[in-house]
Amino acid sequence: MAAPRKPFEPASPEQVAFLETAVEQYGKATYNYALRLTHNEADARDLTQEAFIRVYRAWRSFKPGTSFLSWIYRIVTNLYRDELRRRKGRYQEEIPEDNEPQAYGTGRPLAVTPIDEYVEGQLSEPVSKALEALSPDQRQIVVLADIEECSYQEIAEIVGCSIGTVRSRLHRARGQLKKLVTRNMKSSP
Amino acid sequence: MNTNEHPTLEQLNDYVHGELPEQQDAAIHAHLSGCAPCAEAHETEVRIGEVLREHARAEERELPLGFAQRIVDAAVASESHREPWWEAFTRVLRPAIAVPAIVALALIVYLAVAGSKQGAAVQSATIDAAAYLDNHAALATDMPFSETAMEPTAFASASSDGNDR
Repeated sequence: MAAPRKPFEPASPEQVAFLETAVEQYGKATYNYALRLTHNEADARDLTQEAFIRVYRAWRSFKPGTSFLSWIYRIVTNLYRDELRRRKGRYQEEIPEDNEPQAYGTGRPLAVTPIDEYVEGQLSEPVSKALEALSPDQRQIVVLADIEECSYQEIAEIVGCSIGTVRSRLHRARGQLKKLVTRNMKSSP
Repeated sequence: MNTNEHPTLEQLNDYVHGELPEQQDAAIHAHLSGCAPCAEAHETEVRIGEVLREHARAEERELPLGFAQRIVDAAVASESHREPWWEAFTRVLRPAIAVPAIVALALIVYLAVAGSKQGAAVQSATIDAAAYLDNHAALATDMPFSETAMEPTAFASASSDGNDR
C-alpha cells in the first residue's frame, strides 16, 4: 500500500489523473444520480462536484477491483442526507410502518393499474412527479433499484442499511409510487 | 414455497429484482405460468421498472459544458487550501486549553483571597481561656446539679466555710 501523502505536499500527477479519469468515466452517471435525487440542476452540480472532491482527497483509499460507482453513489447519498439535515434541521429517517409482506394472491381480480394503461411517450410527467413526491429515502431506493439496477446488497452498502430494510423500503416505495401515479393520472387533464 | 402457493407482492417485487433464492425463484417462475392474476401482477411490477428506466433515459442529461474541468480545478484548489491536520488540531485545542487555564487561574486567585479572609476569621474566633471559664460558670448557674458543672465561686467559698465548721 502506498504511503499517505504528507500535508502540503503538492498533488501528484497520479492523483489528478485519477480524478480526471473518474470524472470522465463516471461524471455523467454521478450527475444524473444526483439530479434524480434532488430534482434540481444547481443542487445536482454542487453534489457532484463535492462528491468528486471527496474522491480526490481519498483517492488512495479506493481499492481497484471494487465498484467505483457504488463508492461515489455512497458519497453522493451521504452528502445529500447532510444537505437535507442542514436544510430541514433534521433528516427525517423513514421508519418502516409495516414490514409484513402484503398478500394479494387470494384469487380476487386485480385492478389494472394506470401504469399498464400508459402509452409510450405519455409516461414521463406523471412518473417524474410521482418520483419527486416520494420521500427522500424512498426515492433513493427506487432510483438505485429500478433505474441504476443495483442489487439489494449494493443498495444496502450505498445507503448504509440492512438488506431487509432495502427490501421493505423498496416494496413500500413502489406501492407509494403506484398510488402517486394513479393520483397524477386522475388529476392530469 | 410450492408452485401452488400465490406469492406475496413483496416476493414478486424481489423476484422482479432477481433477489430471491434459487428455489423460491424457480417456484414463482413455475407458478406464474399457471396463474393469470399473479402473472398480471408480475407484469405490473415489471412495467413499473421499465417505466422508471424509460423515464430516466428520457431525462438523462450530459454534464454541463466545462463542468468536468471545473470539478478537477475545484478539487485541486480545495486540496492546496486545506489546513494541515496539526494546525487544525491546535486551532481546536487552543480554546480547549485556554478556557480551563483561565478557569484554573481564577480558581487559584479566588481560593487565595478567600483563604486569607477565612484565616483572619478563624483567628478572631479563637476563644481565650478566661472567657471560656466565665461562660461555663454561667452555664453551671443555670444547671447547678449537672455533674460536669463547675462549682460557682460563691458556693465554693460557702462550702469551704461549712467544712471548716
